[in-house]
Amino acid sequence: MTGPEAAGPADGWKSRIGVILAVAGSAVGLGNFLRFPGQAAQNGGGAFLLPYFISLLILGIPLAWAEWTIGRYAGQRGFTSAPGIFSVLCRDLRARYLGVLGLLIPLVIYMYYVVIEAWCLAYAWHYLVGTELLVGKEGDVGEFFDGLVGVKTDGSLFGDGGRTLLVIVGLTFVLNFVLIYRGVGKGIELFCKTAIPLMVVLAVIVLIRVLTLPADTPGTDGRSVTDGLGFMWNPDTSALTDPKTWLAAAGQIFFSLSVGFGVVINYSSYLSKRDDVARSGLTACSMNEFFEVCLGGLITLPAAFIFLGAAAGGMGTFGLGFNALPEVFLTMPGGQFFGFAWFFMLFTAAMTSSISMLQPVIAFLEEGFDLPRPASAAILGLIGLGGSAFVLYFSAGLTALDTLDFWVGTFAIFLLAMAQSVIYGWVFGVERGHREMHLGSHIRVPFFVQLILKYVVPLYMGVIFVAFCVQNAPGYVTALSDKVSAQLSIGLIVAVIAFLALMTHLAGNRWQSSGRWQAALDAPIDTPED
Amino acid sequence: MTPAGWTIMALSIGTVLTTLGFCLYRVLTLPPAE
Repeated sequence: MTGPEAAGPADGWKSRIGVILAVAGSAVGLGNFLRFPGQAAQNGGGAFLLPYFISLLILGIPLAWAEWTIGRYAGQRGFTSAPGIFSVLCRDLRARYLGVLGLLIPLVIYMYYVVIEAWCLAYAWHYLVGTELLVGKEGDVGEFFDGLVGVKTDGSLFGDGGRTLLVIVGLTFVLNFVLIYRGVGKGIELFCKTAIPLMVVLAVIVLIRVLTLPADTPGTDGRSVTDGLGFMWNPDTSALTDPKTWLAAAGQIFFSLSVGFGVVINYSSYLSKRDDVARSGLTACSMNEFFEVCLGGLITLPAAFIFLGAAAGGMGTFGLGFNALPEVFLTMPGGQFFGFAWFFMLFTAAMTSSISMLQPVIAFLEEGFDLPRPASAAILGLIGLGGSAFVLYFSAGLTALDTLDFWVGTFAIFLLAMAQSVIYGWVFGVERGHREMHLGSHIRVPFFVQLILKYVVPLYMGVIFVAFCVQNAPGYVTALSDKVSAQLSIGLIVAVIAFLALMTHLAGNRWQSSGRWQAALDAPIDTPED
Repeated sequence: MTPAGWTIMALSIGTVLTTLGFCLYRVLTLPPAE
């Protein structure tokens, strides 16, 4: 499939479907099952789907195609990491510093995402063994969550109460690194080929349970399945005249597809010019939409509404996932089994995302310093472990996690995605992008998509970004003066940026002195066809 | 659930399933790249 070419990467995908499943696995996560239904309920129900699909067509899919294209282009010139990829695209080694964002984002997100992943595995484990607070008659899911994540006091997880979670975090960490150590083809691809079908099976099991709940199920106060579906899907057309609905839809598409994450450009850099990036990109997007619309849209909110009523619509991502749904499983017949299936599915979804976050940095250490994979994995493991320990220690109010998520998991992603869209449209060039996208392609993407990428996407993203900052940034800036853990989180981000910038600087010097950079410059600007 | 709700749900899910099914079919039935 993707054999090593003259200047191409040594590692690679073993099959066409493998890279699609890996990219879809990277995109599918908690947001598909928990964030999407909440956004829909708060923004017009079924009416939300109109701006949602429009955003998918003019923002999500074109951006995904652009990432697949530029990743493969740089991979063909011997670079698979974000600093190398941006240098190749701009034909200027100074552009490598922009690639720091493409390393920072997956690395910092991994630090807290692996903790959330461990929560999911902890829930699955506690459902399996029948922990009283989750499945007993006197169950209290709120108390369980607070105790599990240590929401009340900083450092509480490092006392006796947090031992179970620490063990599970350790297990999750090891699992991630075993897979990443095995490489792209034998680790990530092999895992995703098993994990994605498993997620579908587990989600369908829970879906069937939700859709077949009898009308007289205890705890539902007479609310039926169709009432639950109606809460999610009935359109409130007045929401379409509210700009917030359109912004929410665009934001959901943007985060759901994981564009601007630094992962797709890395994954696609292992592809050859004979691979069909246009169709693979479209298939990966469709798969993500399947999990989001077909499974997330039918399970989460309808189930929560049936048992909890309209209050379920106002809950945030964590509230819906770790309080509302456990409350549902506490009441639902067979809730212990379905709770296990649901949280194990979420854990699997989180795993396919977290391994994708490690690969961009591993690739950078390998190509920047010629480190063997074990050494790269060990360095990355130590950095990741330090960051995760920070998140676990500063657990009060989940402030550290929330701060990292806002400034890196949201703000920095916007920056990188906007930079990518501008570089693609105005530096790399849409004419070249169009030609490169169609190398090995079995479908024709109309040229107006390139025009959308050049003119509409940067503008659309700029508007979303400004509106997003106006809505959310003041609260997070205020938090910086109030909370020490928020200040320390910013300190952590700055330290990681400084470290990555230094490493990127050194890597660039090595590429120059070894002739690797010159070889990339000497390669034809357009990839030659066979 | 109103008729409009049913319609939007069926259209959304139908569109996603059709697109995914078509893409997967074409990906899985293409000859190997090399």
